[in-house]
Amino acid sequence: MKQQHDLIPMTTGELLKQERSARKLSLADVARAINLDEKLLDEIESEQTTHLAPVYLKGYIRAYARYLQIGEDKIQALVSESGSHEPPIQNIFAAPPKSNPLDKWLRATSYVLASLLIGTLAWQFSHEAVRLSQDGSQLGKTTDNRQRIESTIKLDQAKGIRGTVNASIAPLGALHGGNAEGIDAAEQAWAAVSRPPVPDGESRLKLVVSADSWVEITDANGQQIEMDLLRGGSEKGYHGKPPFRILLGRASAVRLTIDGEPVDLTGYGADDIAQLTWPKNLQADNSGQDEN
Amino acid sequence: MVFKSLRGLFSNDLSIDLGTANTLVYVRGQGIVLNEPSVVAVRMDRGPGGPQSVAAVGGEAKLMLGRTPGNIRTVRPLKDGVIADFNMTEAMLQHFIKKVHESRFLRPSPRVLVCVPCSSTQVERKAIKESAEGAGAREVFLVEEPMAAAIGAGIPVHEARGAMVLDVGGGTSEVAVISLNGLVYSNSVRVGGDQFDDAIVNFVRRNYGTLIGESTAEQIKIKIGRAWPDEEAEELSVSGRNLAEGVPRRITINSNEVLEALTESLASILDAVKAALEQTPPELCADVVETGIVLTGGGALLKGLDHLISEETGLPVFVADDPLTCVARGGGRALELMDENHGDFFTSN
Repeated sequence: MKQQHDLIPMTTGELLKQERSARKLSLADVARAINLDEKLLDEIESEQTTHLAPVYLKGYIRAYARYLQIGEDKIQALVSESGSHEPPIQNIFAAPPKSNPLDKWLRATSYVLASLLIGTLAWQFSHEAVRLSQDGSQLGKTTDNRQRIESTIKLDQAKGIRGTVNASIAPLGALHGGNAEGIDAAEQAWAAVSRPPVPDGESRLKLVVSADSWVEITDANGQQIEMDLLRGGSEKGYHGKPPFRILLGRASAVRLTIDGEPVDLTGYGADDIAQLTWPKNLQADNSGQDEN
Repeated sequence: MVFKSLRGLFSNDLSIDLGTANTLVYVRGQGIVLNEPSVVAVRMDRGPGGPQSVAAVGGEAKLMLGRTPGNIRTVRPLKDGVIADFNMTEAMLQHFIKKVHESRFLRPSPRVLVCVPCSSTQVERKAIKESAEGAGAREVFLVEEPMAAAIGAGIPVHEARGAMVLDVGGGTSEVAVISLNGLVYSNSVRVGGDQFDDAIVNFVRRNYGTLIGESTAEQIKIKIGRAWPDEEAEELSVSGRNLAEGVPRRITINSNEVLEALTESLASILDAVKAALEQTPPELCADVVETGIVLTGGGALLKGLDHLISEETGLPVFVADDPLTCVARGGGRALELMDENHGDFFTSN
C-alpha cells in the first residue's frame, strides 16, 4: 500500500488532508482559524473546486497550507499545481493577441500593396484627365471652325446674294485654317461662282469699311474708279487696270483686297491716312518717273 | 486628426497605472513593459525661477531624490492618487509613452487607458485625461482603480456575485464591492504606502531623535514592515541624522516597532473596509463573507496585512498573485475587452 502511495503523487487536497490528520485537527478547527467555510475546505480536500475562480482557490489553499505550517516552497508548488488544473485567469477574458512575426510581415506587405494600388490609381486618373483635356480642346477647335464657316455663309446670304455655298467647294484650308484664311477662302469661292469674270489685264478690288472713310482710287488710265466717303459697315467692289493709286482717309477702318489678296495698309502713311500705289514695285517706278 | 490616426497605426494600446509611487505601463499583447517610480527631476536653467527642463524621469530621477544640487529639484507629480503638478505629469507620461515604443520614426499616438482613484473628482479626472492627451495619446479612457485591480487579480467581475477588493496603493487605499462588471460600493481613503513611510519617519524621529529620509523609511517598510506581530522580531540597522547632536548616527529598529508606527495608518484602512462591509447590500455581503477579500496593490506586500484584516473582519483575506501589477494588468485586459464589452468598465467621464 505504501509503495502505491509513493508511485502515485498525491493531489493538493490529499496532501492538505493528510497534514491536517497528522496534526489531529478537524475541518471545523481549521475553518474557525482561517475564517473559511467548512464546506469549502471539504471541497478543496476532495478536489471539487471547479466552481471557484483561480484567484480564490489559490488564496484558500495558501491560507490553509500556512495554517498547517507547510513550508513556503511547498505552498507555492501546491498553489501552482492547483492553478494548472483550473483554467488560466486569462481564459476568463479575451485572450491577448499573440505577436506573431508572420502577422508583422503580412501587415507590412498589405501596407505596401495598398500604397501601390493607390499610387497606380492616382497615376491613371491624372493620365486620363490630361488625355480628356487634350481631346476636349481639339473638339473645341473643330466646332469653332465649323461655326465660322456657317457664320460666313450666313453673312453672304445676308448680302442678298442668292444661292448656297457648298462647303465642299471651298478650299480645304478653310476647314483647317485660321479665321481670316477661312473667310477669305469662302469669299474667293463665292466670287468664283457668282461674279462675272473681269476682263483680261484688269484687277478686282474690294473694300470693307468698318467706319466712315474717304476713299480715292485711280486706275492705270487715270480714271477715278472711286472718290467718295464710304459709310461704316459698307462693302464695295471695283475693277480696273492696275496699277491703282489709292488714298484711304481712315486706313485702320478699311480692309482692302485686290484680286483676293489682302493688302497690308500699315506703313503707307501717317496719321491713319494711307496713300499707296498697287502693285508696290510699280509705285517705285512711277515715283521714279515723277521725279524725272 | 488624420495624421494622428496614421501615427496610431504604429502605436500600441497602453494601460497606465498612474500611481503616486510607481507608474506601470501595460502594453496590449506584451504585458507589463515599464514599472518606474513616479518621479521627475527638473533642472532650472539659469538658477531658480528660470526656464525649466526635465533632467530625468522614473528610476533615474528617484536616485536623485533628496540628493540634488540647487538647480535641480525632484518632483513627485502625483499626490494622493491625483495630479498635483500638471506639467510634470504630462512630461512624465510623454517620456514613458515614448519609452515603450521602439519606433523612433513617428511620434507614437496610442490609445491609452488610465486608472483613476474612485474618489477622484471630475476636475481631477479631467486633469488626468488632458495630461494623457497632451502626452500624445490618440484617445484616453479612464477606469476606476478597484475595477482594474479586480480584473487584474482574476476575479470574475462579470458574475452576479459580490466580490470585495482592497487595493492599497502608494497614496490611496481603495475598497470596492464588484458585481456584474460594475462597482456596487467603492470608497477611497488617502492612506497608502507613502503614509506608511511618513509614519515610520515620524516614529524614528520621536523615539530615536533621529531624522531619516523618505527612501530609508521605504527600505525599513519593505524589509521589516509588519501589520501583524511575528513570534520573532526582525531587526534592521539604518543611518539618520541625530537631531540633538546634528551628526549622522546608526540606529537599529525592529519589526514590532515598525508595526507600532504603522498602527494608525492601518486602522484607517481597516475602518474603510468595515465601512464598506456595513454599506454593502446584504446579498452581496453574504457573497463576500463566502469568497473573502482580495488584496492588491504594493501595500498588500506588507507582511501580515491579510492576517490583520482577516482577524479584524472575520473574513477570509488573501493577496492576489503579483499584487503590484494588478491594476495595470487589469487595465490592459479592460482595453482588450473594450470592443467586445462596449466600454462597460469605463467611468462616465
